[in-house]
Amino acid sequence: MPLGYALTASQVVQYYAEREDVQRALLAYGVGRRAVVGTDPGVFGRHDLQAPLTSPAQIAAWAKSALDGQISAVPRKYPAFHATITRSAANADPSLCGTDLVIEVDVKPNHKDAFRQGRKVLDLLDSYGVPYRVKFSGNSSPHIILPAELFPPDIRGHRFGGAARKMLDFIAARSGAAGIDASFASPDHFLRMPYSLNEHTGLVSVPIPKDQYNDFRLEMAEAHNVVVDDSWMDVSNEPRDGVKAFLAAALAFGGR
Amino acid sequence: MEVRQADLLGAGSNQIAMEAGKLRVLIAPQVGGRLVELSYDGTNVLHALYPRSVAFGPYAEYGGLEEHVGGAPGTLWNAPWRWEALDDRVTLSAYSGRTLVRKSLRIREDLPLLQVEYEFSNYSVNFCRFTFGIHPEIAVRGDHRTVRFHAPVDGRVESGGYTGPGFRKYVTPEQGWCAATAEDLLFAQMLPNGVADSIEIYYPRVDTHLVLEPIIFGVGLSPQKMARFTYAAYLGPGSERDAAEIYAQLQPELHAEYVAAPPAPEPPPDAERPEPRRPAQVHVDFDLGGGVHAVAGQAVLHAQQEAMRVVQEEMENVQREIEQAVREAEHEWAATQRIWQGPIPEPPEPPAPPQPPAPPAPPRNLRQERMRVLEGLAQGVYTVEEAAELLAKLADGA
Repeated sequence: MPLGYALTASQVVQYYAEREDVQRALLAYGVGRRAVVGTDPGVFGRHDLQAPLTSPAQIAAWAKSALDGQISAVPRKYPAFHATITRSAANADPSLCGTDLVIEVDVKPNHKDAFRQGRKVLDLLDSYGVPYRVKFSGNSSPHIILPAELFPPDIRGHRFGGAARKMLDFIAARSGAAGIDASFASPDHFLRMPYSLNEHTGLVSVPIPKDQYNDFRLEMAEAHNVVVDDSWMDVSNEPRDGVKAFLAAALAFGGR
Repeated sequence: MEVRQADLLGAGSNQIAMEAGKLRVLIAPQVGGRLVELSYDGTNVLHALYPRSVAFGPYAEYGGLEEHVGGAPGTLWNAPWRWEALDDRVTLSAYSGRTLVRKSLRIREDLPLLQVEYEFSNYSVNFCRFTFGIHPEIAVRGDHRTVRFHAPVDGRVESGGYTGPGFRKYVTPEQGWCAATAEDLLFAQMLPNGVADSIEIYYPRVDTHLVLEPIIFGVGLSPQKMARFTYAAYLGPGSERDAAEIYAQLQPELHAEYVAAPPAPEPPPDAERPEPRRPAQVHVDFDLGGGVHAVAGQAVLHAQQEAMRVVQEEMENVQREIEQAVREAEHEWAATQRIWQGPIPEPPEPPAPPQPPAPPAPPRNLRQERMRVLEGLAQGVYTVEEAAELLAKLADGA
């Protein structure tokens, strides 16, 4: 048993292997994506370890294998599931395929500051009426996601790289938010999956409802406090009128 | 229980003496809040050095019992701790970064037992995770070679004794106790079951004492949360067979909790500013859509100015925190190098896979990279060893 919030290896296994809601959410997000589990950034780039998530049993087995070799009851690092920001596999609904735009506000020393910067991004997206999803990284930052299905096929497909760079530049310049990670313009980028544990803290990369963003507290990401929302990524019922105006402004953006 | 303060050791500053029955505890708040004496009927079981010390690089050996917050020797081993006597207990506290470490000590009247409530409260805005160890240096009547150690492991009590300086072993305790015995005297340390991840058994090369240190590898705290647990030290007649019985008897009184932190009794060092209040109209205006910048101009400007001011101030705070972390990391690393004969064995890290070709990198900002490492260290992303290795590589330009 740890002290405070520090998951033990057996609690980690329990989280991934016994919480069906977590498994369901990981599988739902993982459809059509390459995923990988690990405790170390070196693992996340290894193509030989990447595979689609297909079953709860696989999630449990991956988590257990990532814990192998941890000598302490409290792991030094936690197994984290990462997946591509691109959904491309044949088993995915074609209308959902493509690359999500991820805006990570990378201000690590200060969680509050990272969320303040993120607020600026949300305000900008709100001003255009662009639907988005927000989740916590599990350490410090908010991850703001514009699901691929919001964008026209060419933008979420072969034009993604160039369009994403412009969108990220536009968002950074117009929102004034500091610390936006430009590397997410690459469609091959991996992102910690919603409901995965963060490898460093053991906190959950938990989705944050829009109306709770300003009041988000880190203890909400402690595994025992997490309530899973299966349909978190679904934006199919949200108005998208503002997306066109946002895209037009972002793609015409000439720089800061 | 009687509590008094006096300079009983000629240290130039007062110690706090707590006495009840045959048990006496002497505390030096100025030097890590350490216990410099824990004695039963006049027999001290702690290595008595203070106020003298033996230097090992930046670390100084004072003997007694000290706390290691954040790995050995941690951040508070020589920090001055605030203290106050309250009714039947003495409370000491000190900040490690923005985590308040507090211990309340009392001596039981019915047993020769020192009971300590340890509390860790996170007053930072970030999650924090650290290792915590209770580090008693044991030498009964100044002798450590006759002391035997005992810990419940794998369904039995593992016992051993002095085999020479340098012996070190870590065991995972099956129950929350470990003990040292010498002749008919028993010194048993007790924690709630499962809280201690490991017991370090160590005869340092200086060959002056035995260390029997309960270690908690993962103390994790969300902001504004507090973890606390009870530690009890029995010192009196008995053998290792009695230790398990005493533990069974006391176990219901040993607690571990994770609760909301009370308001900070004193502001943390470099206290963060409170959240700036966002003008309400900013939010309303933003919801109106694309014309936000024209509609909300003045309010947005004020909000941005306020945010910039707060960010600027917080960055300055972060800078101060980083500079402090540099000092602590250098200090801790040097001390660890000198004192540890070897770290807890870790599985080898897998080799980094070949990375796909990256776009041309901008010129490196070594200072910024160094700051990131130190920030990572402060957040617990890196261990001291990892941070030191990365800093060394940066210094080499690697």
